[in-house]
Amino acid sequence: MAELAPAPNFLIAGIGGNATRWLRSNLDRHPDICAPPVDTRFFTDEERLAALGHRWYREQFPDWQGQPLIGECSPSYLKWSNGPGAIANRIRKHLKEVRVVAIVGDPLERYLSGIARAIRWGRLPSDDPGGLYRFEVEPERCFAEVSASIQGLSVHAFRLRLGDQLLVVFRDDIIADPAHAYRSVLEHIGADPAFVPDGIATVRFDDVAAIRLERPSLEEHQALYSWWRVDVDKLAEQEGRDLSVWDPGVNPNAPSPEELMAEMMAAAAANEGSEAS
Amino acid sequence: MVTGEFPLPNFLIIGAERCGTRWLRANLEEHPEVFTPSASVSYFNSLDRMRRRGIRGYRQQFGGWSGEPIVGESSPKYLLPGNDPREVARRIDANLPDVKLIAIVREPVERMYSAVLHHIKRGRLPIDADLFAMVAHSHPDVDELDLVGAGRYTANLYPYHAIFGDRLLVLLNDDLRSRPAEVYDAALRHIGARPGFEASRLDRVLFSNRRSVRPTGPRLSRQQRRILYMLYRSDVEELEALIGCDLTAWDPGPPPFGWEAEVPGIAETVYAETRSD
Repeated sequence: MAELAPAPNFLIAGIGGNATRWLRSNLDRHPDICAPPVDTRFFTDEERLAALGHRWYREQFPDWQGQPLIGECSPSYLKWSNGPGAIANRIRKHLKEVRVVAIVGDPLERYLSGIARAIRWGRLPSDDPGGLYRFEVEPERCFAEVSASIQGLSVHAFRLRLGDQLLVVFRDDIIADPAHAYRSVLEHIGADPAFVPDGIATVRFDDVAAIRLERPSLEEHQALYSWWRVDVDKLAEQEGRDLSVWDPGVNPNAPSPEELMAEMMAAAAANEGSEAS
Repeated sequence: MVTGEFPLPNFLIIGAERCGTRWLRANLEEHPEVFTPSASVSYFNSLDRMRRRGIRGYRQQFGGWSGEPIVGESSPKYLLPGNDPREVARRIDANLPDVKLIAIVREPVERMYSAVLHHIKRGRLPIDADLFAMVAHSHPDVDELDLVGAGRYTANLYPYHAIFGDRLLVLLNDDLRSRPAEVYDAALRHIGARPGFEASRLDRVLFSNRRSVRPTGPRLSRQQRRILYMLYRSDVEELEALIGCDLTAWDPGPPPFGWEAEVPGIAETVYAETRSD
Protein backbone atom coordinates (compact mmCIF):
# COMPACT_ATOMS: atom_id res chain seq x y z
CA MET A 1 0.00 0.00 0.00
CA ALA A 2 1.42 3.35 -1.01
CA GLU A 3 1.90 6.16 1.51
CA LEU A 4 -0.97 8.64 1.89
CA ALA A 5 -0.09 11.97 0.27
CA PRO A 6 0.06 15.13 2.38
CA ALA A 7 -2.65 17.76 1.90
CA PRO A 8 -1.91 20.14 -1.02
CA ASN A 9 0.38 23.08 -0.39
CA PHE A 10 -0.72 24.92 -3.52
CA LEU A 11 -3.94 25.33 -5.49
CA ILE A 12 -4.63 26.60 -8.98
CA ALA A 13 -7.96 28.38 -8.84
CA GLY A 14 -8.15 29.64 -12.37
CA ILE A 15 -11.26 30.77 -14.12
CA GLY A 16 -12.20 27.90 -16.46
CA GLY A 17 -10.90 28.33 -19.98
CA ASN A 18 -7.96 30.45 -18.86
CA ALA A 19 -5.09 28.08 -19.33
CA THR A 20 -5.49 26.25 -16.04
CA ARG A 21 -4.77 22.88 -17.65
CA TRP A 22 -1.67 24.34 -19.33
CA LEU A 23 -0.35 25.47 -15.96
CA ARG A 24 -1.26 22.31 -14.07
CA SER A 25 0.23 19.91 -16.59
CA ASN A 26 3.45 21.90 -16.86
CA LEU A 27 3.79 22.16 -13.08
CA ASP A 28 3.32 18.39 -12.96
CA ARG A 29 6.42 18.02 -15.17
CA HIS A 30 8.57 19.77 -12.56
CA PRO A 31 10.60 17.29 -10.47
CA ASP A 32 9.61 19.00 -7.17
CA ILE A 33 5.90 19.03 -7.95
CA CYS A 34 2.98 16.60 -7.99
CA ALA A 35 0.00 18.18 -9.80
CA PRO A 36 -2.11 15.31 -11.16
CA PRO A 37 -5.15 15.71 -13.42
CA VAL A 38 -7.67 15.63 -10.58
CA ASP A 39 -10.33 18.22 -9.85
CA THR A 40 -11.61 17.46 -6.37
CA ARG A 41 -13.86 20.56 -5.95
CA PHE A 42 -13.14 19.90 -2.26
CA PHE A 43 -13.56 23.52 -1.14
CA THR A 44 -16.49 24.37 -3.41
CA ASP A 45 -19.24 23.13 -1.13
CA GLU A 46 -19.25 23.20 2.68
CA GLU A 47 -21.50 20.19 3.19
CA ARG A 48 -19.64 18.08 0.68
CA LEU A 49 -16.32 19.01 2.30
CA ALA A 50 -17.60 17.98 5.74
CA ALA A 51 -19.05 14.73 4.42
CA LEU A 52 -15.91 13.71 2.51
CA GLY A 53 -13.36 14.83 5.11
CA HIS A 54 -9.61 15.43 5.04
CA ARG A 55 -8.54 11.85 4.55
CA TRP A 56 -10.65 11.60 1.39
CA TYR A 57 -9.00 14.77 0.10
CA ARG A 58 -5.52 13.34 0.60
CA GLU A 59 -6.59 10.07 -1.02
CA GLN A 60 -7.23 11.95 -4.27
CA PHE A 61 -3.46 12.04 -4.89
CA PRO A 62 -2.62 8.31 -5.08
CA ASP A 63 0.20 8.90 -7.58
CA TRP A 64 2.20 11.21 -5.30
CA GLN A 65 5.83 10.09 -5.40
CA GLY A 66 7.15 12.05 -2.42
CA GLN A 67 7.54 15.43 -4.17
CA PRO A 68 7.78 18.34 -1.68
CA LEU A 69 5.07 20.31 -3.50
CA ILE A 70 1.63 18.93 -4.16
CA GLY A 71 -1.35 20.72 -5.63
CA GLU A 72 -4.57 20.54 -7.53
CA CYS A 73 -6.38 22.67 -10.05
CA SER A 74 -10.06 23.51 -9.80
CA PRO A 75 -11.64 26.17 -11.99
CA SER A 76 -14.69 25.96 -9.72
CA TYR A 77 -12.93 27.70 -6.79
CA LEU A 78 -12.91 31.12 -8.43
CA LYS A 79 -16.29 30.90 -10.13
CA TRP A 80 -18.43 33.77 -8.93
CA SER A 81 -21.64 31.69 -8.77
CA ASN A 82 -19.94 29.28 -6.32
CA GLY A 83 -19.30 32.03 -3.73
CA PRO A 84 -15.52 32.57 -3.84
CA GLY A 85 -15.45 34.40 -0.48
CA ALA A 86 -16.75 31.34 1.35
CA ILE A 87 -14.42 29.12 -0.70
CA ALA A 88 -11.39 31.27 0.24
CA ASN A 89 -12.44 31.04 3.91
CA ARG A 90 -12.54 27.24 3.69
CA ILE A 91 -9.17 27.13 1.95
CA ARG A 92 -7.63 29.36 4.62
CA LYS A 93 -9.16 27.32 7.41
CA HIS A 94 -8.14 23.90 6.11
CA LEU A 95 -4.83 24.69 4.35
CA LYS A 96 -3.26 27.47 6.42
CA GLU A 97 -0.01 28.01 4.53
CA VAL A 98 -1.32 27.16 1.07
CA ARG A 99 -0.17 29.18 -1.94
CA VAL A 100 -2.92 29.94 -4.45
CA VAL A 101 -2.57 30.82 -8.12
CA ALA A 102 -5.46 32.47 -9.97
CA ILE A 103 -5.37 32.77 -13.74
CA VAL A 104 -7.43 35.64 -15.14
CA GLY A 105 -7.77 37.12 -18.60
CA ASP A 106 -9.84 39.01 -21.13
CA PRO A 107 -13.42 38.12 -20.17
CA LEU A 108 -14.38 37.78 -23.84
CA GLU A 109 -11.79 35.05 -24.37
CA ARG A 110 -13.02 33.14 -21.31
CA TYR A 111 -16.60 33.59 -22.46
CA LEU A 112 -15.83 32.34 -25.98
CA SER A 113 -13.93 29.43 -24.51
CA GLY A 114 -17.00 28.60 -22.37
CA ILE A 115 -19.33 28.87 -25.38
CA ALA A 116 -17.01 26.70 -27.52
CA ARG A 117 -16.75 24.16 -24.74
CA ALA A 118 -20.54 24.04 -24.33
CA ILE A 119 -20.88 23.44 -28.10
CA ARG A 120 -18.25 20.69 -28.02
CA TRP A 121 -20.15 19.05 -25.16
CA GLY A 122 -23.50 19.28 -26.95
CA ARG A 123 -24.90 21.75 -24.41
CA LEU A 124 -25.35 24.51 -26.99
CA PRO A 125 -26.22 24.28 -30.71
CA SER A 126 -23.37 24.98 -33.12
CA ASP A 127 -25.22 26.48 -36.08
CA ASP A 128 -25.84 30.07 -34.94
CA PRO A 129 -23.04 31.54 -32.81
CA GLY A 130 -24.33 35.10 -33.38
CA GLY A 131 -27.66 34.03 -31.89
CA LEU A 132 -25.79 32.76 -28.84
CA TYR A 133 -23.83 36.03 -28.48
CA ARG A 134 -27.07 38.06 -28.69
CA PHE A 135 -28.94 35.77 -26.22
CA GLU A 136 -31.43 34.83 -28.93
CA VAL A 137 -30.66 31.14 -28.56
CA GLU A 138 -30.51 29.33 -25.18
CA PRO A 139 -30.31 32.67 -23.31
CA GLU A 140 -29.98 31.18 -19.83
CA ARG A 141 -27.07 28.97 -20.75
CA CYS A 142 -25.38 31.81 -22.63
CA PHE A 143 -25.85 34.22 -19.75
CA ALA A 144 -24.30 31.67 -17.41
CA GLU A 145 -21.17 31.94 -19.59
CA VAL A 146 -21.28 35.76 -19.28
CA SER A 147 -21.51 35.37 -15.51
CA ALA A 148 -18.65 32.86 -15.46
CA SER A 149 -16.37 35.59 -16.86
CA ILE A 150 -16.81 37.69 -13.70
CA GLN A 151 -13.34 37.58 -12.17
CA GLY A 152 -12.53 40.93 -10.52
CA LEU A 153 -15.01 40.29 -7.71
CA SER A 154 -13.78 36.72 -7.27
CA VAL A 155 -10.14 37.73 -7.14
CA HIS A 156 -11.04 40.49 -4.69
CA ALA A 157 -12.76 37.94 -2.42
CA PHE A 158 -9.65 35.75 -2.53
CA ARG A 159 -7.21 38.65 -2.05
CA LEU A 160 -9.06 39.90 1.03
CA ARG A 161 -8.76 36.53 2.74
CA LEU A 162 -5.49 35.16 1.41
CA GLY A 163 -3.39 38.30 0.96
CA ASP A 164 0.09 37.53 -0.40
CA GLN A 165 -0.67 33.83 -0.49
CA LEU A 166 -2.52 34.60 -3.75
CA LEU A 167 -0.67 35.15 -7.04
CA VAL A 168 -2.72 36.49 -9.94
CA VAL A 169 -1.41 35.46 -13.36
CA PHE A 170 -2.73 37.11 -16.50
CA ARG A 171 -3.49 34.88 -19.48
CA ASP A 172 -2.10 37.65 -21.73
CA ASP A 173 1.28 37.21 -20.01
CA ILE A 174 1.17 33.41 -20.45
CA ILE A 175 0.62 33.87 -24.18
CA ALA A 176 3.33 36.55 -24.47
CA ASP A 177 6.02 34.69 -22.51
CA PRO A 178 4.97 31.27 -21.20
CA ALA A 179 8.35 30.47 -19.61
CA HIS A 180 8.39 33.73 -17.65
CA ALA A 181 4.81 33.22 -16.42
CA TYR A 182 5.69 29.64 -15.46
CA ARG A 183 8.73 30.78 -13.46
CA SER A 184 6.67 33.36 -11.58
CA VAL A 185 4.36 30.56 -10.44
CA LEU A 186 7.32 28.39 -9.42
CA GLU A 187 8.69 31.22 -7.31
CA HIS A 188 5.30 31.80 -5.70
CA ILE A 189 4.79 28.18 -4.68
CA GLY A 190 8.42 27.67 -3.64
CA ALA A 191 9.72 25.40 -6.41
CA ASP A 192 13.12 25.67 -8.11
CA PRO A 193 12.56 28.34 -10.82
CA ALA A 194 15.51 27.07 -12.88
CA PHE A 195 13.48 24.20 -14.30
CA VAL A 196 11.25 24.92 -17.29
CA PRO A 197 9.92 21.91 -19.23
CA ASP A 198 10.54 21.47 -22.95
CA GLY A 199 7.72 22.53 -25.23
CA ILE A 200 6.12 24.76 -22.62
CA ALA A 201 4.56 26.94 -25.32
CA THR A 202 3.01 24.12 -27.31
CA VAL A 203 0.31 22.66 -25.10
CA ARG A 204 -3.08 23.33 -26.62
CA PHE A 205 -5.76 24.87 -24.43
CA ASP A 206 -8.07 26.32 -26.98
CA ASP A 207 -11.65 25.07 -27.42
CA VAL A 208 -12.37 28.06 -29.67
CA ALA A 209 -9.76 27.04 -32.27
CA ALA A 210 -10.74 23.37 -32.02
CA ILE A 211 -14.21 24.07 -33.45
CA ARG A 212 -13.23 27.20 -35.43
CA LEU A 213 -15.85 29.20 -33.55
CA GLU A 214 -16.85 32.35 -35.37
CA ARG A 215 -15.95 35.36 -33.24
CA PRO A 216 -18.55 38.00 -32.32
CA SER A 217 -18.87 41.19 -34.34
CA LEU A 218 -17.63 44.43 -32.77
CA GLU A 219 -21.21 45.32 -31.83
CA GLU A 220 -21.76 41.92 -30.20
CA HIS A 221 -18.43 42.22 -28.38
CA GLN A 222 -19.34 45.70 -27.13
CA ALA A 223 -22.72 44.49 -25.88
CA LEU A 224 -21.13 41.54 -24.08
CA TYR A 225 -18.38 43.68 -22.57
CA SER A 226 -20.94 45.99 -21.00
CA TRP A 227 -21.61 43.17 -18.50
CA TRP A 228 -17.94 42.99 -17.52
CA ARG A 229 -16.70 46.59 -17.58
CA VAL A 230 -17.25 47.34 -13.88
CA ASP A 231 -15.75 44.00 -12.89
CA VAL A 232 -12.67 44.52 -15.06
CA ASP A 233 -12.21 48.00 -13.57
CA LYS A 234 -12.23 46.36 -10.13
CA LEU A 235 -9.59 43.85 -11.22
CA ALA A 236 -7.42 46.58 -12.80
CA GLU A 237 -7.57 48.74 -9.70
CA GLN A 238 -6.86 45.91 -7.31
CA GLU A 239 -4.00 44.35 -9.24
CA GLY A 240 -2.59 47.72 -10.32
CA ARG A 241 -2.67 46.95 -14.01
CA ASP A 242 -4.04 48.78 -17.01
CA LEU A 243 -6.56 46.42 -18.62
CA SER A 244 -8.06 48.90 -21.08
CA VAL A 245 -6.69 46.77 -23.94
CA TRP A 246 -9.59 44.37 -23.30
CA ASP A 247 -12.22 47.07 -23.67
CA PRO A 248 -13.81 47.27 -27.15
CA GLY A 249 -15.45 50.61 -26.34
CA VAL A 250 -19.08 51.55 -26.03
CA ASN A 251 -21.51 51.36 -28.93
CA PRO A 252 -24.03 54.18 -28.42
CA ASN A 253 -26.65 52.20 -30.35
CA ALA A 254 -26.26 49.02 -28.28
CA PRO A 255 -28.79 48.21 -25.59
CA SER A 256 -27.64 48.83 -22.03
CA PRO A 257 -27.34 45.91 -19.58
CA GLU A 258 -30.65 47.06 -18.08
CA GLU A 259 -32.37 46.84 -21.47
CA LEU A 260 -30.72 43.49 -22.22
CA MET A 261 -31.85 42.14 -18.85
CA ALA A 262 -35.44 43.30 -19.51
CA GLU A 263 -35.36 41.57 -22.93
CA MET A 264 -34.03 38.36 -21.40
CA MET A 265 -36.66 38.38 -18.64
CA ALA A 266 -39.36 38.86 -21.27
CA ALA A 267 -37.94 36.02 -23.38
CA ALA A 268 -37.74 33.74 -20.32
CA ALA A 269 -41.33 34.57 -19.36
CA ALA A 270 -42.53 33.87 -22.91
CA ASN A 271 -40.60 30.59 -22.88
CA GLU A 272 -42.15 29.52 -19.58
CA GLY A 273 -45.57 30.54 -20.85
CA SER A 274 -45.21 28.39 -23.97
CA GLU A 275 -43.93 25.43 -21.90
CA ALA A 276 -46.85 25.75 -19.48
CA SER A 277 -49.37 25.76 -22.30
CA MET B 1 19.64 -24.76 -19.08
CA VAL B 2 19.73 -23.04 -15.70
CA THR B 3 16.75 -20.83 -14.91
CA GLY B 4 19.00 -18.11 -13.55
CA GLU B 5 20.47 -17.63 -17.02
CA PHE B 6 17.28 -16.16 -18.37
CA PRO B 7 17.21 -12.39 -18.25
CA LEU B 8 14.61 -10.00 -16.88
CA PRO B 9 13.23 -7.57 -19.47
CA ASN B 10 14.55 -4.06 -19.81
CA PHE B 11 11.48 -2.86 -21.71
CA LEU B 12 7.75 -3.58 -21.66
CA ILE B 13 5.00 -2.79 -24.14
CA ILE B 14 2.09 -2.15 -21.76
CA GLY B 15 -0.81 -1.60 -24.20
CA ALA B 16 -3.34 -0.40 -24.99
CA GLU B 17 -5.20 -3.38 -26.40
CA ARG B 18 -6.19 -3.05 -30.09
CA CYS B 19 -3.74 -0.19 -30.67
CA GLY B 20 -0.88 -1.89 -32.51
CA THR B 21 1.10 -3.62 -29.78
CA ARG B 22 1.46 -6.79 -31.90
CA TRP B 23 2.87 -4.74 -34.77
CA LEU B 24 5.42 -3.11 -32.49
CA ARG B 25 6.49 -6.31 -30.73
CA ALA B 26 6.85 -8.28 -33.99
CA ASN B 27 9.00 -5.57 -35.57
CA LEU B 28 11.14 -5.02 -32.49
CA GLU B 29 11.73 -8.77 -32.33
CA GLU B 30 13.31 -8.63 -35.81
CA HIS B 31 16.01 -6.27 -34.59
CA PRO B 32 19.28 -8.14 -33.99
CA GLU B 33 19.81 -6.51 -30.56
CA VAL B 34 16.32 -7.30 -29.27
CA PHE B 35 14.64 -10.42 -27.91
CA THR B 36 10.93 -10.69 -27.08
CA PRO B 37 8.81 -13.81 -26.47
CA SER B 38 6.14 -14.09 -29.16
CA ALA B 39 3.19 -14.56 -26.79
CA SER B 40 1.81 -12.05 -24.32
CA VAL B 41 3.37 -12.74 -20.91
CA SER B 42 0.76 -10.97 -18.72
CA TYR B 43 2.60 -11.45 -15.42
CA PHE B 44 2.37 -8.21 -13.42
CA ASN B 45 -1.40 -7.85 -13.92
CA SER B 46 -2.10 -10.99 -11.88
CA LEU B 47 -1.03 -11.06 -8.24
CA ASP B 48 -2.04 -14.72 -8.15
CA ARG B 49 0.24 -15.55 -11.09
CA MET B 50 3.08 -13.57 -9.55
CA ARG B 51 2.76 -15.55 -6.31
CA ARG B 52 2.48 -18.91 -8.03
CA ARG B 53 5.30 -18.48 -10.53
CA GLY B 54 7.53 -16.02 -8.74
CA ILE B 55 10.20 -14.01 -10.50
CA ARG B 56 11.95 -17.26 -11.53
CA GLY B 57 8.81 -18.32 -13.35
CA TYR B 58 8.71 -14.91 -15.02
CA ARG B 59 12.31 -15.30 -16.18
CA GLN B 60 11.37 -18.60 -17.80
CA GLN B 61 9.11 -16.71 -20.21
CA PHE B 62 12.36 -15.48 -21.81
CA GLY B 63 13.62 -19.00 -22.43
CA GLY B 64 14.32 -18.41 -26.13
CA TRP B 65 16.85 -15.67 -25.37
CA SER B 66 20.21 -16.06 -27.02
CA GLY B 67 22.27 -13.24 -25.58
CA GLU B 68 20.54 -10.21 -27.15
CA PRO B 69 21.37 -7.13 -25.03
CA ILE B 70 17.80 -5.81 -25.04
CA VAL B 71 14.94 -7.95 -23.78
CA GLY B 72 11.29 -7.06 -23.66
CA GLU B 73 7.78 -8.34 -23.51
CA SER B 74 4.37 -7.12 -24.63
CA SER B 75 1.39 -7.39 -22.28
CA PRO B 76 -1.46 -5.07 -23.24
CA LYS B 77 -3.37 -6.22 -20.19
CA TYR B 78 -1.04 -4.06 -18.03
CA LEU B 79 -3.03 -1.01 -19.11
CA LEU B 80 -6.53 -2.40 -18.61
CA PRO B 81 -8.45 -0.61 -15.83
CA GLY B 82 -9.88 -3.92 -14.62
CA ASN B 83 -6.34 -4.93 -13.68
CA ASP B 84 -5.75 -1.72 -11.68
CA PRO B 85 -2.90 -0.06 -13.65
CA ARG B 86 -1.74 1.80 -10.52
CA GLU B 87 -1.02 -1.50 -8.75
CA VAL B 88 0.49 -3.04 -11.89
CA ALA B 89 2.80 -0.02 -12.27
CA ARG B 90 3.97 -0.37 -8.66
CA ARG B 91 4.66 -4.09 -9.12
CA ILE B 92 6.66 -3.44 -12.28
CA ASP B 93 8.66 -0.69 -10.54
CA ALA B 94 9.39 -2.95 -7.58
CA ASN B 95 10.61 -5.84 -9.75
CA LEU B 96 12.18 -4.10 -12.77
CA PRO B 97 13.71 -0.88 -11.37
CA ASP B 98 15.27 0.46 -14.59
CA VAL B 99 12.72 -0.81 -17.10
CA LYS B 100 11.57 1.33 -20.06
CA LEU B 101 7.90 1.32 -21.04
CA ILE B 102 6.10 1.86 -24.33
CA ALA B 103 2.37 2.49 -24.75
CA ILE B 104 0.43 2.99 -27.97
CA VAL B 105 -2.87 4.85 -28.06
CA ARG B 106 -5.53 5.27 -30.71
CA GLU B 107 -8.74 7.24 -31.22
CA PRO B 108 -10.74 5.64 -28.40
CA VAL B 109 -14.05 4.96 -30.20
CA GLU B 110 -12.12 3.24 -33.00
CA ARG B 111 -10.32 1.22 -30.34
CA MET B 112 -13.62 0.25 -28.75
CA TYR B 113 -15.05 -0.89 -32.10
CA SER B 114 -11.90 -2.87 -32.85
CA ALA B 115 -12.19 -4.52 -29.43
CA VAL B 116 -15.77 -5.55 -30.23
CA LEU B 117 -14.58 -7.24 -33.46
CA HIS B 118 -11.84 -8.96 -31.49
CA HIS B 119 -14.27 -10.25 -28.86
CA ILE B 120 -16.70 -11.43 -31.56
CA LYS B 121 -13.83 -13.37 -33.15
CA ARG B 122 -13.01 -14.95 -29.77
CA GLY B 123 -16.66 -15.86 -29.15
CA ARG B 124 -17.03 -13.50 -26.19
CA LEU B 125 -19.62 -11.35 -27.97
CA PRO B 126 -22.34 -12.43 -30.43
CA ILE B 127 -21.81 -11.81 -34.16
CA ASP B 128 -24.68 -9.28 -34.11
CA ALA B 129 -23.35 -7.30 -31.11
CA ASP B 130 -24.69 -3.73 -31.13
CA LEU B 131 -21.93 -1.62 -29.57
CA PHE B 132 -23.94 1.58 -29.16
CA ALA B 133 -26.90 -0.20 -27.53
CA MET B 134 -24.56 -2.10 -25.22
CA VAL B 135 -22.95 1.10 -23.97
CA ALA B 136 -26.20 3.08 -23.83
CA HIS B 137 -27.87 0.40 -21.71
CA SER B 138 -24.80 -0.40 -19.58
CA HIS B 139 -24.70 -4.04 -20.70
CA PRO B 140 -22.60 -6.06 -18.19
CA ASP B 141 -20.17 -7.07 -20.97
CA VAL B 142 -19.10 -3.41 -21.32
CA ASP B 143 -17.50 -3.48 -17.88
CA GLU B 144 -16.57 -7.16 -18.02
CA LEU B 145 -14.52 -6.62 -21.20
CA ASP B 146 -13.31 -3.09 -20.23
CA LEU B 147 -14.79 -1.91 -23.53
CA VAL B 148 -15.08 1.76 -22.48
CA GLY B 149 -12.46 1.86 -19.73
CA ALA B 150 -9.58 0.56 -21.86
CA GLY B 151 -9.79 3.75 -23.97
CA ARG B 152 -9.46 6.13 -21.02
CA TYR B 153 -5.76 6.43 -21.71
CA THR B 154 -4.90 9.25 -19.30
CA ALA B 155 -6.63 7.54 -16.39
CA ASN B 156 -4.79 4.30 -17.15
CA LEU B 157 -1.43 5.84 -18.11
CA TYR B 158 -1.10 8.53 -15.45
CA PRO B 159 0.04 6.13 -12.68
CA TYR B 160 2.77 4.88 -15.02
CA HIS B 161 3.72 8.44 -15.96
CA ALA B 162 3.95 9.38 -12.25
CA ILE B 163 6.35 6.54 -11.46
CA PHE B 164 8.34 6.17 -14.68
CA GLY B 165 8.38 9.75 -16.06
CA ASP B 166 10.45 9.91 -19.24
CA ARG B 167 10.98 6.15 -19.15
CA LEU B 168 7.42 5.89 -20.50
CA LEU B 169 7.10 6.55 -24.24
CA VAL B 170 3.59 7.06 -25.61
CA LEU B 171 3.17 6.46 -29.35
CA LEU B 172 0.17 7.28 -31.52
CA ASN B 173 -1.38 4.58 -33.65
CA ASP B 174 -2.13 7.35 -36.19
CA ASP B 175 1.64 7.82 -36.73
CA LEU B 176 2.20 4.08 -36.82
CA ARG B 177 0.00 3.97 -39.92
CA SER B 178 1.21 7.18 -41.62
CA ARG B 179 4.96 7.02 -40.85
CA PRO B 180 5.77 3.59 -39.46
CA ALA B 181 9.57 3.85 -39.92
CA GLU B 182 9.74 6.98 -37.74
CA VAL B 183 7.61 5.40 -35.03
CA TYR B 184 9.75 2.28 -35.11
CA ASP B 185 12.93 4.34 -34.82
CA ALA B 186 11.50 6.26 -31.86
CA ALA B 187 10.74 2.95 -30.13
CA LEU B 188 14.26 1.64 -30.87
CA ARG B 189 15.90 4.77 -29.49
CA HIS B 190 13.71 4.61 -26.39
CA ILE B 191 14.76 1.05 -25.53
CA GLY B 192 18.41 1.73 -26.40
CA ALA B 193 18.62 -0.27 -29.65
CA ARG B 194 20.43 0.98 -32.74
CA PRO B 195 17.98 3.00 -34.89
CA GLY B 196 17.83 2.79 -38.67
CA PHE B 197 17.22 -0.97 -38.84
CA GLU B 198 14.77 -1.92 -41.61
CA ALA B 199 12.27 -4.40 -40.20
CA SER B 200 10.34 -6.37 -42.80
CA ARG B 201 6.81 -5.90 -41.47
CA LEU B 202 6.72 -2.18 -40.80
CA ASP B 203 4.05 -1.50 -43.40
CA ARG B 204 1.92 -4.52 -42.55
CA VAL B 205 -0.99 -4.11 -40.22
CA LEU B 206 -0.89 -7.12 -37.92
CA PHE B 207 -3.78 -6.26 -35.69
CA SER B 208 -6.77 -6.00 -37.98
CA ASN B 209 -9.82 -8.17 -37.58
CA ARG B 210 -11.62 -6.43 -40.42
CA ARG B 211 -10.87 -9.16 -42.93
CA SER B 212 -11.59 -12.11 -40.66
CA VAL B 213 -14.74 -10.94 -38.86
CA ARG B 214 -17.98 -10.06 -40.58
CA PRO B 215 -20.23 -8.63 -37.86
CA THR B 216 -23.94 -8.54 -38.64
CA GLY B 217 -24.86 -5.97 -35.96
CA PRO B 218 -25.53 -2.30 -36.78
CA ARG B 219 -22.53 -0.14 -37.66
CA LEU B 220 -21.93 3.01 -35.63
CA SER B 221 -23.55 6.05 -37.21
CA ARG B 222 -21.73 9.38 -37.24
CA GLN B 223 -23.97 10.72 -34.47
CA GLN B 224 -23.42 7.61 -32.37
CA ARG B 225 -19.63 8.02 -32.73
CA ARG B 226 -19.94 11.60 -31.57
CA ILE B 227 -21.97 10.54 -28.55
CA LEU B 228 -19.59 7.70 -27.65
CA TYR B 229 -16.65 10.09 -27.98
CA MET B 230 -18.18 12.10 -25.12
CA LEU B 231 -17.10 9.24 -22.84
CA TYR B 232 -13.51 10.18 -23.69
CA ARG B 233 -13.53 13.94 -24.35
CA SER B 234 -12.20 14.90 -20.92
CA ASP B 235 -9.65 12.10 -20.87
CA VAL B 236 -8.34 13.04 -24.34
CA GLU B 237 -7.93 16.69 -23.25
CA GLU B 238 -5.79 15.54 -20.35
CA LEU B 239 -3.88 13.18 -22.66
CA GLU B 240 -3.01 16.13 -24.91
CA ALA B 241 -1.50 17.84 -21.88
CA LEU B 242 0.20 14.67 -20.64
CA ILE B 243 1.99 13.84 -23.90
CA GLY B 244 2.12 17.39 -25.32
CA CYS B 245 0.33 16.44 -28.51
CA ASP B 246 -2.60 17.94 -30.40
CA LEU B 247 -5.25 15.23 -30.73
CA THR B 248 -8.04 17.31 -32.28
CA ALA B 249 -7.81 15.00 -35.32
CA TRP B 250 -9.47 12.34 -33.14
CA ASP B 251 -12.48 14.55 -32.42
CA PRO B 252 -15.48 13.42 -34.52
CA GLY B 253 -17.28 16.69 -33.69
CA PRO B 254 -19.82 17.78 -31.10
CA PRO B 255 -22.73 15.49 -30.25
CA PRO B 256 -26.17 16.71 -31.34
CA PHE B 257 -27.53 19.48 -29.11
CA GLY B 258 -29.72 17.90 -26.43
CA TRP B 259 -28.10 14.46 -26.75
CA GLU B 260 -28.17 13.90 -22.98
CA ALA B 261 -31.94 13.35 -23.00
CA GLU B 262 -31.60 10.69 -25.73
CA VAL B 263 -29.01 8.59 -23.92
CA PRO B 264 -29.24 9.42 -20.19
CA GLY B 265 -27.09 6.43 -19.23
CA ILE B 266 -24.13 7.68 -21.27
CA ALA B 267 -24.68 11.31 -20.16
CA GLU B 268 -24.64 10.25 -16.52
CA THR B 269 -21.32 8.44 -17.00
CA VAL B 270 -19.84 11.41 -18.86
CA TYR B 271 -20.79 14.02 -16.28
CA ALA B 272 -19.79 11.87 -13.32
CA GLU B 273 -16.23 11.98 -14.64
CA THR B 274 -16.02 15.56 -15.87
CA ARG B 275 -14.08 18.56 -14.62
CA SER B 276 -16.18 21.15 -12.87
CA ASP B 277 -15.71 23.96 -15.36
